[in-house]
Amino acid sequence: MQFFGQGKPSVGVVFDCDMGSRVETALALSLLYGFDGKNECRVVCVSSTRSNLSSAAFCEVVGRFYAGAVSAAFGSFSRTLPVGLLADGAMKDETPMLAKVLERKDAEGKPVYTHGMHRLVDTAESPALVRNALTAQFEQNAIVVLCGPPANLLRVAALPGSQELIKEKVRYLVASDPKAAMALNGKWPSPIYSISPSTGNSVLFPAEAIEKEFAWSPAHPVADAYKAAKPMPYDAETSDMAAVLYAMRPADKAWTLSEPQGSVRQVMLNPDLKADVLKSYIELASAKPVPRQPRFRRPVVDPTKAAPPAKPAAAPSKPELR
Amino acid sequence: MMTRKALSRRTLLRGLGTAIALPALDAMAPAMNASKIPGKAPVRMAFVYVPNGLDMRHWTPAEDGAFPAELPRILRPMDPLRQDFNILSNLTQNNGRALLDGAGDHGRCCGAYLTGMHPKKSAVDIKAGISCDQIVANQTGSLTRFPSLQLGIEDARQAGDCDSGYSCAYTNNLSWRSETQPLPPILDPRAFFEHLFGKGTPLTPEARARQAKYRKSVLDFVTADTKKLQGDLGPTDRRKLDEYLSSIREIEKQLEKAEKDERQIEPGMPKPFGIPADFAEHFKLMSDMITVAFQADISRVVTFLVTREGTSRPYREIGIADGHHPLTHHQGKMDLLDKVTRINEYHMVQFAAWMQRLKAIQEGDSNILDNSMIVYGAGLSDGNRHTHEDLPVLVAGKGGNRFKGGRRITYRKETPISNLYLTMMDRMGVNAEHFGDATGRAGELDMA
Repeated sequence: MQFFGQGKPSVGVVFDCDMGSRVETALALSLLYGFDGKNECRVVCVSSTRSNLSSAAFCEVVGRFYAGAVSAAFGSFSRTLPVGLLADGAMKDETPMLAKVLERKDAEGKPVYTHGMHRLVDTAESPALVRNALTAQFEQNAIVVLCGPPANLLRVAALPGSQELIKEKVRYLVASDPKAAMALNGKWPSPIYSISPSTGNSVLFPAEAIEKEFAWSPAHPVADAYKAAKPMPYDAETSDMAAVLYAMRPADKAWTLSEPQGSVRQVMLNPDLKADVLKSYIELASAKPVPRQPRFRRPVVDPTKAAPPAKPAAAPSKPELR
Repeated sequence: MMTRKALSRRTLLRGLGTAIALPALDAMAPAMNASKIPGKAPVRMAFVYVPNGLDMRHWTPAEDGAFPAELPRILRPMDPLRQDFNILSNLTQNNGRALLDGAGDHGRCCGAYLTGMHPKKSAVDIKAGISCDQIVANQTGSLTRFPSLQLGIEDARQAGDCDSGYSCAYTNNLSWRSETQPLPPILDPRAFFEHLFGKGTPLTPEARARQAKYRKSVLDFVTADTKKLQGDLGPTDRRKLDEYLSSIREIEKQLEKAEKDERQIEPGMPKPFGIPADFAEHFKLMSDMITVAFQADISRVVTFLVTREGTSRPYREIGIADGHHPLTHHQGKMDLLDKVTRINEYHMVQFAAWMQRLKAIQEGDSNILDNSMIVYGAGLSDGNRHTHEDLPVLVAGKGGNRFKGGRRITYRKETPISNLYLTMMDRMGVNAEHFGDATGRAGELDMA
């Protein structure tokens, strides 16, 4: 929750994905929570287009794992973020990276990872969730990261009033898949950046990092998902991670941009800086959850450029209700 | 063969300063075929708003689908009507949330409740949106004497700051004619009575004093018309008319009792003239008049702000001297929570009794409740934490035998409550493409 007089908070990130289709999406989400823990962003909304309850459940497991670092919700205090899920017809199949994590039991036979996604009504309607999350952000203080098909975001953009809302709130959208970015071209009114196909292939996330850097936790859902997705050891592509990293650090020298095609520009990786990018991926994705910040975070933006504090309200004629 | 001319649905019993509309009678059937055809009687829509959220522990049935054998504590008064209502879970009013505007959840939640818009934070420059009841009233209002009625019990102040910089216009109104024009509720039962049965022009103070001195029933003014009409009616219609006029007389007696009552509503504070000191009496009086308005098709659209949002009214009638609002910030203290639950139950007892009265009034082959959609709810769910999701929503009636009752229906999280309003507008014959922050319609209410 954000309040005037507290300074502009760090940027709010809407993360829409098809969690469960590729393990790199789980890595990207842990990378995003790594930024959240450093107070460089606030994860304000997570949704999935993979129509399977396990997809939403896994997102919630990761969110709970980072519970100390997850930003305050756009709604009321002390509530968990609902996870949005596309539900338009038959549910998709489970994938090993989802099933194995959600089925993992401890020595007493209890689930290692708990979640509250047992029925479709435990998930949120994605268009309303994303729209509502955006309504709670300051002007130009939201970023959207898309790691999967654009189905949810196309629905958001089609809601009455959403075009104006997106223009007002969203700085830009970063998509890991150029096809998804092009599908949004002309329909999503903010600037769109898409990660070039070569970027995801040129930097691979090493299996070795999963074994070493995530070992600080005896049970890490993202590490478990990685190990379950394919026989180890293997290295994973990183287009989704690149989308998160570019979204958070667009000015980094690692990136160059193509000429715009409509509202879409492609993001390419400077080959000389691959090692730096990989280091960032590993350090931030494997970072330990940071204990929850005080309710009112200190502003991370330059205070000299922050919006002036709102004028104090007129003295109430009676004691305030709240 | 001799055929008798059908009685017009718009027939009025007229007298000095009086115009009493009639309930649906069989004699109107040829002219108003609808009354004989199940499901085709006029559909009514009402919103009954209670403040400060509810104790959701005792509101929500444990499972989706058919209600359990024992309803949750607050809903128990509705048990005799268990097939006549639904509980809707997970509906959200996002525009009641802060959305960068800081404190003031009470002002916002009420201002957003029926408008689906985010109220502007101001004590003077008010702005919300046209409320769904007024959209319906605008399109169906020509069919009835009053396009809509706005009633309340507690406070109709329109000026001043009622919550952290939010105007009292937000906490004290449900209906908004336009984004800057709220429609204040009528609180005074006598004023409402005169509104319903008068000729549309308010009585002068002198005329009112003269009427009070020689207190007569409005029925006395229409004796000639009544006798003439009775002569034209069959035995069934005569009985219906007698029952209807008796209910009006009963309301008058309640009004007179309230006017003679000199009890104090607060220690040391005389109650306003004509306002019943007892909450239950006041509720019954107002709801009886709404019933007559529905019965005689005087209006089909009603909003009823039971008490203003954020109210600190005590309920001494049931032994609760603490203010309602402070109690809802119970911080988990069980003794305070129990008082909140008792207030919630007390409100529900009044509502359930009203619903039973609506069900008892036959209308063709059904009854008024079957032909109504009456939403009972609040703009907050948990009054302690000021939550705007999973609002308490009860929909009584079957919307013209379109809704299947007796169920808890759970929507997906963040589903806007505006979706429900769009569905209700459809049932009222108003085809709105969009309303507020709706993302679709709440179709699950319909019969399978």
